[in-house]
Amino acid sequence: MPSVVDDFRASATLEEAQDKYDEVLEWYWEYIPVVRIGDFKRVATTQEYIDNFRYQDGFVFWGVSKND
Amino acid sequence: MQKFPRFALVTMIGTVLLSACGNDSGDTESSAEPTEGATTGGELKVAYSAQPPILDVHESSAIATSDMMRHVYESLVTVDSSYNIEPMLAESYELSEDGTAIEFVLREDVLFHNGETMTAEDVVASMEKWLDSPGNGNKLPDTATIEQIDDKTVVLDLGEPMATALPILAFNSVGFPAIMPAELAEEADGTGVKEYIGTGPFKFDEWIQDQHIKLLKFEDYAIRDEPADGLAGAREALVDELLFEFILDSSTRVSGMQSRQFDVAHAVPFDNADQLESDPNLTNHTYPGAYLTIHFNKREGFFTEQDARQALATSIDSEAILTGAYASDDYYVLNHNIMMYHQLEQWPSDVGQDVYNTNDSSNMDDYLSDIGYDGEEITIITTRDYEDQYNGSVVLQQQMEQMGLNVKIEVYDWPTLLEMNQDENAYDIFVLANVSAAEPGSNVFMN
Repeated sequence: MPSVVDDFRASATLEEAQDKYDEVLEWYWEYIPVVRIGDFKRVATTQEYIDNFRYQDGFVFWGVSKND
Repeated sequence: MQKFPRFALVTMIGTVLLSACGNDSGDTESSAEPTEGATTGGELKVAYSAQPPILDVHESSAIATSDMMRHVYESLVTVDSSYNIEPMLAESYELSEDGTAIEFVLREDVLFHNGETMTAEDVVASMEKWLDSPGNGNKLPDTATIEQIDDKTVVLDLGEPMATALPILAFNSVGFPAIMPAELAEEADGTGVKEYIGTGPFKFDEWIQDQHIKLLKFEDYAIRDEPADGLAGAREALVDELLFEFILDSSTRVSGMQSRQFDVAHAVPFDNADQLESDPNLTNHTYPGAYLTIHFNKREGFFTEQDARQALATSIDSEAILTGAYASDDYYVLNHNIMMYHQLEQWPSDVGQDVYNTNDSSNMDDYLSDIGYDGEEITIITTRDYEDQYNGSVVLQQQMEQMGLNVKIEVYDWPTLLEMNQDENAYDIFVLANVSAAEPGSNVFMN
């Protein structure tokens, strides 16, 4: 693994990691370990009586109620 | 004698502010507070597209496991809707000044679903299991250890600076660091725990193979005082039962929503989304799925050369590939960053923006001229088990042929494709969907 990635991982604070992030991307666009084509979404469907349906890195069913 | 590094007095107490975050993606919002006066009780039936292989979140690489068991298990820290890191089972936490250790002060009076109070011993045993697991624990340094300091304090000693350990610890998705009773963590082998006891707002009730997983409201849940925000703050089960039914056939999920058999349907096919949206009783929600990626054989063949990979990366029409895979720009996002679109407030950068999605094959023209390309055959392997990956591969093949490359596609079932990925003579390229990472260094291609 190149030193720029090791340096990023060895950041002592998240702010420092964020400051080094451009260098990681410069390495990525130079080495091209993969080609990220783009991001895609998924679709979930709820009944209209479902309240407070949420998604954040997975479904969130606490705080969800049925108001039918 | 305290052997751990001195902790900063002014940083990382309680909250790490990564950055403020808005969401203009059109996705369903991840705000928080349940509606005032919301009806409580009853059963929530979720038609889920897959059955998890195991329910031990440390051991499983399946999204289905974390999607279901994040309601049963909790971790020391989590994130709010803006991805600020917030305590969950911890009362507070501090990152040492040199970034080599994180101290957690634990909440008191948090109950497991078996009625026992969570202790520092439980946290140490759980984290030791997580650090040894194939989940996100292995993204921390090999030197990482967890140690109890007193009855309510534990320290994760990373052995070297790694501030990005915090977002890894707070990532409540695949492989998250669930806390469980010490005896269960210590008894577990590589196949995972056999009893599912956590501290979450729902407790595990039953798993009937090929049918469902049932969770029940945990009446003694130790709710946090802060308002709900994202995954942080107060969590409250408002329904009595949460039933994940394994409905692998997508048309059955769709018809079950139309007949009101299910309350929620997971992974609705894009082809059916408009049909469901037109039903006044139903609401569609989009949310971040994953990212589509070209993986190379870097051990043998055409793409062992960095210049070849660069030429392809800066020549393709990403938008056309995504349209082929997902049909509508309602369902994809062009993104030059290596983090997903919902994470860009935390990890912004313009690097790569000028060479991403250029649809300009002159870079490949120049490269082929430089190497005196003689028509060497390039093989893309793909599967029809995932139509988006197949359709994206077909568009990529067309683009590469237009660049003057001699490209063939071979189609296999998914298990065979995974085996062929290990054979350095079997392929040059395969197109794969990868799930989002907790932080840049956790992306699969960074290892």
